[in-house]
Amino acid sequence: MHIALILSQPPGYSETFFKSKIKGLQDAGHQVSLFVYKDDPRFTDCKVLPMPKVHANPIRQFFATLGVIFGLLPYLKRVIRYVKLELKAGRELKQVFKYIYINATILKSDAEWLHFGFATLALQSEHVAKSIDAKMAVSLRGFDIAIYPLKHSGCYDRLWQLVDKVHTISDDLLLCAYNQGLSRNNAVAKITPAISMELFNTGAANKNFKTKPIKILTVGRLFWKKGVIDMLEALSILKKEKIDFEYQIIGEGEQKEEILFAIYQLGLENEVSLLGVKTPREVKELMEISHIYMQYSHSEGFCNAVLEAQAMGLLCIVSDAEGLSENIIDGETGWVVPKRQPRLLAKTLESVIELDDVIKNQFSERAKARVKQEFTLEQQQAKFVEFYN
Amino acid sequence: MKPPFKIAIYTGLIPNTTFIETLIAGVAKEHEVLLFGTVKKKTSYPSKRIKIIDTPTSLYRNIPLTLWRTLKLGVQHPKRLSLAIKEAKTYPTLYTKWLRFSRFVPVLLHAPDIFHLQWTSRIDRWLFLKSAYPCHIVVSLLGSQAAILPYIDPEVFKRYQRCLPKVDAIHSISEHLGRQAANFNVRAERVHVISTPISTAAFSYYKPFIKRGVKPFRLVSVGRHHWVKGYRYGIQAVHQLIQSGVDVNYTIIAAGNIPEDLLFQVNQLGLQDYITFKPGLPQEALFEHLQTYDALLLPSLSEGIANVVLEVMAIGLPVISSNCGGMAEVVIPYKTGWLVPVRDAKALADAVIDCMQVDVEDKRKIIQQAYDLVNANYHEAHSIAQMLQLYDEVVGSDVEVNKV
Repeated sequence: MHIALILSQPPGYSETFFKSKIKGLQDAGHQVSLFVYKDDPRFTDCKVLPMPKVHANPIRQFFATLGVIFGLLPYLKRVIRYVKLELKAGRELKQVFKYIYINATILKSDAEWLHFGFATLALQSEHVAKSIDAKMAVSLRGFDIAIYPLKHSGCYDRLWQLVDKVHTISDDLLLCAYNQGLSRNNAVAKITPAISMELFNTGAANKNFKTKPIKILTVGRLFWKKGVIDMLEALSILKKEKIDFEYQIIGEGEQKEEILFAIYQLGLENEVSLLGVKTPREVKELMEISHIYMQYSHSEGFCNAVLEAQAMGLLCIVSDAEGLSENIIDGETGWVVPKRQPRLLAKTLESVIELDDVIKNQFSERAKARVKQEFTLEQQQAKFVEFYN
Repeated sequence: MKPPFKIAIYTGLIPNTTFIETLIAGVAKEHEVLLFGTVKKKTSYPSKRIKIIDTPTSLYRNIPLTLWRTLKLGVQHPKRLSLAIKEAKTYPTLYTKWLRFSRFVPVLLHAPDIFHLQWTSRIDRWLFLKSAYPCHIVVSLLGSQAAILPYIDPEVFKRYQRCLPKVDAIHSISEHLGRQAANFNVRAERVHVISTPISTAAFSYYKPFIKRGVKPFRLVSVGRHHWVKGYRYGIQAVHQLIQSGVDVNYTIIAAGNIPEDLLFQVNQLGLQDYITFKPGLPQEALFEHLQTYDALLLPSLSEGIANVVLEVMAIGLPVISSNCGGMAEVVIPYKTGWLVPVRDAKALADAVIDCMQVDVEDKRKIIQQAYDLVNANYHEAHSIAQMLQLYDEVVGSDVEVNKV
């Protein structure tokens, strides 16, 4: 079977999710090709086809359009079918021509499945699959379903009518889609992210919780939805309680100024450090020397970093945003705290820090075992092979 | 009568925010005001004493203009020109060298007696004026450039420590910001606390408090969309109030796109029916509109002294404010308003309840006292007179020295 994945760009070095999916499908004998808006020559795992670029320069755009028109001539039947479908759906002719240009590469494809890696990527391409006699799948990943529609109400109405199968990474995101009009009769499959056990592996040894001070870690972009300010406010309560801790955040992002000011205003300069972006290996090393992992997001599809932290035996405290409460089983493999309540987070942190080492180890071992059993790349690959059958 | 001074009120952009425009108009009554920078929107002033000296950003307009100015400067003051070239050379790229040079030349050509820099962060660019001609530099400590930037960027902190002690006077809009100047090795006597001028227009909207029988209790915040305004704490407070069955709604009036995080927060907390985002309004319309609310909420994380608080006090609206920056200087608990700790949604919610439940007579008193405080200390007539006096002192001290 030929499966085409549509992404904004080829998966980067650390994006195990898509890379392992592609490998799994290839190993199962399928042909996989990748349609991207921005190419990256470093990616060589499968065939990559860039989508036509929209040029600011009108002369370049003219020649690019000419090229696209000639390229589509052998596929005239498909293009006509596409135009008919679009016009029937009430799209203006001018828009339709624009979308033909954008979708030209996919219109030429002989794929049997078109899988849009994020729901937002399917916008403007809803009728392409039908035009080329392929099935359409879409992945719900977090931002695309939990945040984007807030500013674009009803943006997925067409998509929900035409999609053949929906992939979600958590039950909560699926619920979001249902609330936005996805039919409950639609075929869906939940396939959670998975992590490489080769890298994130502590061996058999128990984690040492005796070392002082308590080291707390978060991995994530410095971006509002990660709830960093709430975490800092919780930690400022811990400081007032005279609890000795260190907190490190791995990541960069547009919220940095606000975070730096919060660190200053809350008097946490000696306790908190922003480490910037780190490689997966460095992340693993920092996890090795940390005790607690915190992910108190406002919104979170599922969160690979929480899986990695569990695999490394850290005590995980997360918010109940979307997929996080499925990632951690509250009171068993970690602690799930209702979001946006720094005081409650502080209380949980305090109680976790005070736990006996034996109990801490029990949590740590249960989390490790569950991740090893349920979130391996092999399982994820098998589920994706199943997805298209 | 004293001859008027040439005073440059510098932000680099024309026109400026309301309070700087109020200052410009006020100063122009006594002195010549020079506005250097880039004209962003066509601006004209009724006063002939206000002069715009435009330096466009487009190279194609900037190059001939700057060359002409350079020629004039070269003929009239060759030493100043060589200094401008020397100073511009210290910048890294050809483009920034040109950009700085094209801004230095008009200032050196007009040689204002006082160069009043409104934003602190690039003070290092202008200190050289003092070596070019008898120039007096006044710097205003305002907003995030004074209260945030130096504390999150060590480079800026060092720059302030290096440059601020060398300027002639520091103007601060609050006692709180004034005290911060000590962090930058500025001697206290160099710091002049002069409040932001609140225009006479605002006071004309004042109405003594009359109890509104209509529910819900209407809260409002006004400001730009920026994290420093702390709107998320306001929203969180409203969430707590709604959860406790208190009948309130909350309007955020701010120019620009509604930030994604606030939109998401409102939806996540299910507050769509209680919270409204409104675009910014022109000042007169805003003052009128503000009178339809029951209280102003200022959940900010940092402020000098928020102008909007002074303005609504002049209008006669109760204020519930976070205790940040200089806010405590105007919002005095149970005397002129409600003051709560910063980053504390629960305290904000409790203060709203208190403001709703306070005895009518007490509320009337609080509103009147707030009006009296602003009228006595922040009225434009008062602030501008102080600023003029500061200019006199700065230039005067020099005259004294020369006499000796």
